[in-house]
This record gives sequence, structure tokens and C-alpha cells, in this order.
Amino acid sequence: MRQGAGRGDGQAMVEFALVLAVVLSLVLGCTQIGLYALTRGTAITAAERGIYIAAGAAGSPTGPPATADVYSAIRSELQSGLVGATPAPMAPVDGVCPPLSASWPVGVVYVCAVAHPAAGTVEVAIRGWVSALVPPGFGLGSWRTGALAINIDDVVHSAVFAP
Amino acid sequence: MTGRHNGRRGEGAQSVVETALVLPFLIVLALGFAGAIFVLDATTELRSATGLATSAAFSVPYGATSQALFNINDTFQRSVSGPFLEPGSLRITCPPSEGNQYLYSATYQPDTVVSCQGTVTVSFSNNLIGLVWRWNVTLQQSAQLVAPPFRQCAPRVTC
Repeated sequence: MRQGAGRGDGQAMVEFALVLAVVLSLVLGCTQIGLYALTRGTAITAAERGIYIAAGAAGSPTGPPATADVYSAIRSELQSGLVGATPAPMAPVDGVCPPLSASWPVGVVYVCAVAHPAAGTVEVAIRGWVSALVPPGFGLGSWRTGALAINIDDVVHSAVFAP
Repeated sequence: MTGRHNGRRGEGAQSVVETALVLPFLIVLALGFAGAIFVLDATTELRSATGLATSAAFSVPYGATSQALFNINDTFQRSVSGPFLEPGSLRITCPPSEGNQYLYSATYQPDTVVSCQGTVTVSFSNNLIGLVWRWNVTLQQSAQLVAPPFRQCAPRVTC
């Protein structure tokens, strides 16, 4: 009799553990997606602001601002809106903002600004990996264990003056 | 004994059936929520890119309409990116029917509005969210910017 009751309790616990794992994954997954969207939204808005700053200065005598200037203008916005990451500046390499790399640390999102005089464009990139609560399983573009990619790249044409 | 044994087995079966009934609803809810969040995310991306692209109308001297339209489209194509956007669906138009005297009229008209509409299609067909979001979502955002009061003119254009 007692054996039967014990088996019943054990079965209930196993069932509860199974259901809890599934429900917890779903809740964490939903939370993660919400936080990811919030973080991406912050990065999109910050990049837009950064590119206006960079493009506005592109036609000035001092030329387009360096990464440090754009970064200092949008840093506080990024600091308050990034979930699972902190912002940091990244200098262009050979005149190009480096593409997102799997070797970059998780939890850091880099801001890079560069002008392409030949193409007449200014570019602001916000790239990096934010920490993830659960491994993504909803088909997100690029991901690695425990991290989700932020890869925002805005390009505008700098002002051209008539001869 | 046999009756009690059958009762316990019945309870076990009942809980399995209940779980099997509830779980699909939970999964559908979670996938539906995920889809809605990504559609909102794409809307943010599209609004930002449409605004940036519209501002590219002022990157060339007044009267260089084809160059302005090229810059608008180029800025838009290079600034829109998202996990579930259909690559071929990115479009931006600034039609003459919406005013846009700055782009299309023969003489410079300050304080007129440049109005562009960006369109993207969000598709979840290649991932789990597509089990719930079985249709493509086409998003549209518009941006209006007022032409600056002073502009240089392209050669052979009256300002």
C-alpha cells in the first residue's frame, strides 16, 4: 500500500518536473525575446541619432566626427537601454567598421563611426553580443551559446555641394 | 486492490491528457508572442531606415533628382536589417502624388515636404514562429521632412 502511494508521489513529481521545465523554457524564452527586442530598439534609435550627428558634421571644415565623438553622444542612451550588455567604442580598421565576430566578448556592444569619402557616405555601426537567458530557438539569425547578436548598420550619404 | 490500481492508472492517464491539451496552447501563445515582438522590432527598424533614407533627399544639390532618389534608395537598402525580413521586399518610394515638390518641381520651393514610404515584408516561414504566424506581414512606414530654407542648386536648375 505505502509502496503504491510512494510510486504515485514519485510519478507526480516527475510529471511536475517535466512540465515545469517546458513552462519555464517558454516563459524565459518569451522574456528573452522581449528584452532582445528592447535592446535592438535601443541600438536602432542610438545608431539613427549617431548617424545624424556624423552626417551633419561630414560637410563641416573639421570633417566627420571620429568614433569617440559619436560614441560620447549616444553612450548614455545605450547604457540605459541595453539589457545584458554595456557599450564601448571601437575604432575602424583600415577605414571599415569591423564586422561582427564570434571572438568578441559576450556582454559588450561596440559603437563604430566611419566616413567613406570615395562613396560619399557616412556609416555608424553598433555591433556586439548581448547575454541571453536561454539558448535561442526561434530561428534568430546569428547566435552563439548564451548570447544574441546585435548588428545595426546605418549608412547615409553625406551632403554634396554643387561645383 | 485491482479497482484502486485502475483508479491510479486513470489519474496518471488523465494528467498526461491534460498536459497534452494544455501544452500546445502554451506553445502557440509563446510563438504568437514571439512573432508579435519581432513584428514590432521590424516596425522600429523600418521607421528608422525610412527617416534616414528620406533625409538623403537633401544630400545632393536641388535639382539633382535622379541622384537624390538613388541616395534615398541606397540609404534605405543599406540601413534596413532584421532577422526575419524578406530580402527582396525592401522598397522605398517618394511618389510625386504625395507632394514632393522639392524632388520633382522645376523651381526650388522651400518649406515644402519630402514624403517617402518604406515597405518591408516580415516572414517567419523558415522557423518555428511560422507554425503560428503562417502569413507574411507587410509593414509600411512613412516619413516627412521639410525642405531646408537654403539649398545650393545643381547646374542648369533655377532656384
